[in-house]
Amino acid sequence: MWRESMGEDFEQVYKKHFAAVFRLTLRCVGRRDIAEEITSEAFLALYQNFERIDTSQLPAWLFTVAKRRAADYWRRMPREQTSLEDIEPVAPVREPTLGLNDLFRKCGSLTPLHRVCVTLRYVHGLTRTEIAAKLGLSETQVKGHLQYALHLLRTALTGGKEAAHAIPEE
Amino acid sequence: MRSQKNDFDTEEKDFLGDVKLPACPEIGLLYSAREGILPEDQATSLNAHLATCEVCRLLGQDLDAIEFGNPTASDAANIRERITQSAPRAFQRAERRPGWLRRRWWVPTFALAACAILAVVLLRSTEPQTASSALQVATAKPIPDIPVDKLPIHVDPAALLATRGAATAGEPSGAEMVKALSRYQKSDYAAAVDQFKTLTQKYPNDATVPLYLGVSELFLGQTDPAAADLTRAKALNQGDRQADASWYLGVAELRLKNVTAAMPLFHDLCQGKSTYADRACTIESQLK
Repeated sequence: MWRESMGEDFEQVYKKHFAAVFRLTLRCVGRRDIAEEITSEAFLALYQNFERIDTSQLPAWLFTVAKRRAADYWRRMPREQTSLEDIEPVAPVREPTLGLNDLFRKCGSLTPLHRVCVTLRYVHGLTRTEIAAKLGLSETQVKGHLQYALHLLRTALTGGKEAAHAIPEE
Repeated sequence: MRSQKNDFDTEEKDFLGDVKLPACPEIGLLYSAREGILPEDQATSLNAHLATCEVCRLLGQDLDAIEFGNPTASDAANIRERITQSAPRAFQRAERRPGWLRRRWWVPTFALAACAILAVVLLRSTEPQTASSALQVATAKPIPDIPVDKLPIHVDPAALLATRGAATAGEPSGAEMVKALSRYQKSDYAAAVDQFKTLTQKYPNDATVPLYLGVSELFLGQTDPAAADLTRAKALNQGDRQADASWYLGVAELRLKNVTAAMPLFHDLCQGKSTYADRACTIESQLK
């Protein structure tokens, strides 16, 4: 192959770009298994066209293929699962007065990871297992982050002083 | 979309009773809308949601902060396995492949020889060039045409009335901002530019006004003033807003064919963790 004779083979190109392609894809589809599938499809397409593609077109060429596959994924998804109108927030037991964004603002000790776990759990309604899979964490880690965050949020909610170290984080 | 597994424990149920939760689309849909890969109607409603939902905006920032999306060792192994299943020889090193004659070594050799001959002929047939013109020839590359996406309004204009209140010495009042931003939101960029220009004269050190002024000017094709205003916005803002300013300034510089000014902007964005990183890396690689 021309590129091989110039010292760059498929594996080198793969190592250089696979993380960026996976990152873009995971963000677009939100599921690691689908992101793995799309990333491998993009690189297979590259492998099949390897002799014709100029390195200067990468990673843009790969991003284009990955985005097309991600678009196909959403197109295949039933409309009711992708429409904003069909999303209902988790039903509150009482009529609440404070929004989650207000609570986040009040609770300065929460890290980005805590907030992500809380949002995925209570706004997006994911189970701890699903959150762990999405973020590449263990279920125990997710459970620990949620317990810690919930404690801080409840303290903020009741207007009490944050007991940032009351619960040791797992 | 939402799993609704309803596996909340008592403490969680208690917490859920006390907090108002928004109805948000899942992360993948928000990113896909931003990347422009969804049908227009769907993308429009998602972007409208994103423009007003503080929880979604914060989630986006937090996901960037935790570097969401980096492949784990298990992801990397799975992807490699999938590729190997369909193309068993994909990861075999070139030198382990049998049959050196099958490698078309003569193609690059011939191409290099042809280039060398062509270069000699061109050098002999043309007048000596100045250093700058030679540099221009060497660096001439097609400049990518980047479609401009509308910069979402990060705070609901209605909420500005409540949160900003009266004008201070440095920044416009909530009412003044709402007036300008509502024009921008309705894509009435000419009126938005008029409003923002008035505000920028009145409050020269406000960071938000030059950002939206610059983006509005870009939409109107007023690239020179857009570049000037976005340069000011970049200097006045920090963090995500600075990344917004850098991105649109990069677009303006490319429209002005000023690749030298655009390159460092896209390079910095590519190295950073903003939502523009992937797109900036692509453009940087196209410009190189």
